[in-house]
Amino acid sequence: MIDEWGNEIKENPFAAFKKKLLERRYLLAFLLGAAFFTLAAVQAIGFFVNRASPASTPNKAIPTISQISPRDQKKLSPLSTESGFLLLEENTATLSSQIDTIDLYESPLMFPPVNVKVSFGEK
Amino acid sequence: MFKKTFIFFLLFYYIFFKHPLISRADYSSLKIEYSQKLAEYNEAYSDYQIARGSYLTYKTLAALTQALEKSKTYLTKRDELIIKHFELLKEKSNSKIADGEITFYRSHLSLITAIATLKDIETVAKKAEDQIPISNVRSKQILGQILISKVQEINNSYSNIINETSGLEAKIMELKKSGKNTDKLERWLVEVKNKKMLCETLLAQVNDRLNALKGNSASVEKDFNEMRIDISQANLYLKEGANYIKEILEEIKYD
Repeated sequence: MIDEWGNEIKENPFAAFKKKLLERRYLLAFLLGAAFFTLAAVQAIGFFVNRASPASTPNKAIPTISQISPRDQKKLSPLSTESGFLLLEENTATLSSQIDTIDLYESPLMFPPVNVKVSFGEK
Repeated sequence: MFKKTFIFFLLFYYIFFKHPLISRADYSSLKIEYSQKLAEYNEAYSDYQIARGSYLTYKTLAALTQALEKSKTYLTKRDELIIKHFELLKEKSNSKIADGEITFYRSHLSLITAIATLKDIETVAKKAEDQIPISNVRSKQILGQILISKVQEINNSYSNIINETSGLEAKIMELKKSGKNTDKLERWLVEVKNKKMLCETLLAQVNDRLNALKGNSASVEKDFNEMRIDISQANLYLKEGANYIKEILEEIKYD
């Protein structure tokens, strides 16, 4: 069997491979399909695990009105849908982000360490 | 024709983009220039130390010439670095104190060119070395003011939000009248105002301490670091206040 296969390769390698592929096409199709489904399953598991993990939402903030679903919005008090309330909510969110991102170190503005006395008195 | 056009564009480019009187360096480009000056200073300092060591060991004429040259370069680079530092501060704060410091070191630079002996070097260097601790204090005062004004700016936004919360007070009263327990909401609302007061008090204290800042290098560094912590604390008060407002809004939203 191996000798026959070897001889075929020697005579015409392309034809030999083509013949072998045709003989095993169902097996190849099965392997390709299995690989595809495994990959898809891994991706799907990854997606659901990430969505469920609290680590994926580390900065979970209180949702603003616009972020609440229409069904939940029905539960809101009348005041919460007033423009003043919405503005207050928006401004507070902006303020919070300003507070969090403020740079209170400004390291490049520190005075450079230059206090070295120039003297030729002693080594 | 081509030559004339080329010269015209070259002149135009120089006048509008490169001339120091017209082009105004922004903060990020000044920061890059400052980093370059710092690297040049470090190199000059290292060269000065080698030249000084060599002169004190061999006392030859060649070593003396080298020591003179490297010391002058070191003093020049030191002045240039301090000038750039104050230019950087000025870009952020537009401080008049920075102007005074820049003028001092610029005039000191002109003294360096006249140095001829090692004795001259020590005399000229001492003038800057007497000024450096004062400059350090002034630099920290300007930086402190920059940090305070940043928090004050946020405090202004916070105050505006407090003014907008009058509607919330009315809503809380309304809820109270309807028989709901609003103790928690009322307490949070008081906290919102308290946090503003705490922030302003702390900033005023830091401001006073900044104006009174003096002393030797180590104590100035220690005091300034404490002030930095207090400025961060003032910012933290505002953060806590903003969180209270969020909580109140959340409670009322689903009432």
